[in-house]
Amino acid sequence: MKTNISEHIKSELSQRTLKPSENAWEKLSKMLDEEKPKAKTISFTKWKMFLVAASITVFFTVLGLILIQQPAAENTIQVVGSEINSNEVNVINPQIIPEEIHPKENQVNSNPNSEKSEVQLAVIPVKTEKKSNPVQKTEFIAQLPEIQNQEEIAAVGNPEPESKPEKQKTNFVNPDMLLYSVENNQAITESNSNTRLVLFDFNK
Amino acid sequence: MYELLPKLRQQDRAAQKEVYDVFAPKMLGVCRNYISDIHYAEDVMNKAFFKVFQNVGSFKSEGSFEGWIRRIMVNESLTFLRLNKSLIYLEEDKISDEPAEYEEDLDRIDAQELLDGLPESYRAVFNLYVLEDYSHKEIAEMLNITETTSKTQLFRAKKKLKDIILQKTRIQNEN
Repeated sequence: MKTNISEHIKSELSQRTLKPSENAWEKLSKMLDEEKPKAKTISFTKWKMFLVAASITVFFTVLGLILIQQPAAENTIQVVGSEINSNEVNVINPQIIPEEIHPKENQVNSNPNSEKSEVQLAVIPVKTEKKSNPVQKTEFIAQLPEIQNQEEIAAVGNPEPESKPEKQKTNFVNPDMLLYSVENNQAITESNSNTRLVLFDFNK
Repeated sequence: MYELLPKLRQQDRAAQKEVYDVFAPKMLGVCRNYISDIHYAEDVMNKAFFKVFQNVGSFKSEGSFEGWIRRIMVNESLTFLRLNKSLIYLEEDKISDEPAEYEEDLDRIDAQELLDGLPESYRAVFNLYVLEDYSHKEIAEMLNITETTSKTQLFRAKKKLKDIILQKTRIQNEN
């Protein structure tokens, strides 16, 4: 029977089967086993690469943020500096004032007589004129509780009331009182604060 | 066989063994069509199966799994021939008007012996065209040759087969 060569070969070989050698699968299995660690290595390498890339990205991001914020930080430093200065001013006052006051407070607590002397010293400009006047002393003594209260308030830690009494030391002279003192040959001093000190010089 | 695909994608060794046992005999035959030495053919088949198992994830269940494996076998065989520089294509000659097809009583002639008598380059084109049903255009792309070269190689392959058959017939008649 005559047959076309191509058809003959195709019919013979296209569906032909050949039995592989017995160790063929073992060879392939070995190849697959060897590939697994490689795959792990590759994945680990990829993972490492990913970590490196992520680290670089984070590094440059942080660096960029720092560079961006640096000018602002410089401004902030200046501002902080000014704040520090202002704070120093604000802080120094409370520190100084309590230190100045506490000893007074201690002195007041320890020695009541010294209170008198301090208070007298504070009022020295006015008082020098009236040393010889016993009435002045009585007036002074009468005013002591109020002054003591002020010191206690200052000792609590509020510095602002401390500065006010200094300003309040400025004596305001009531025209009527001045007129009255001139007419009656008296020196009258009146402060605008709660502490009201009136001095009468009856010797004149 | 498609039910094994999930396991194959998980690189399940038992599933791989099952697929291997089913397809290896047929695929060894495919590789043997291109490669004369059975041992080399088996090595090529194993390399191809290795690629099958490694790239099974890229297989889409739309087509034939066996056809996909077979294409990998063919490509691996051609790669083997290319690496061994067995595929040498001569300059294109004018194809003779003589019909290459030859009809003879071929029942007593082994087809594998006929193929083994062909040069590698002839055999590759002949197998791709006759056994795998590729067109000359596809063969040209696969082997990086022109379509004309593919046609020429096929013509020469058939002519060579004819010569082989005549020679074998002559020998048989003398005996």
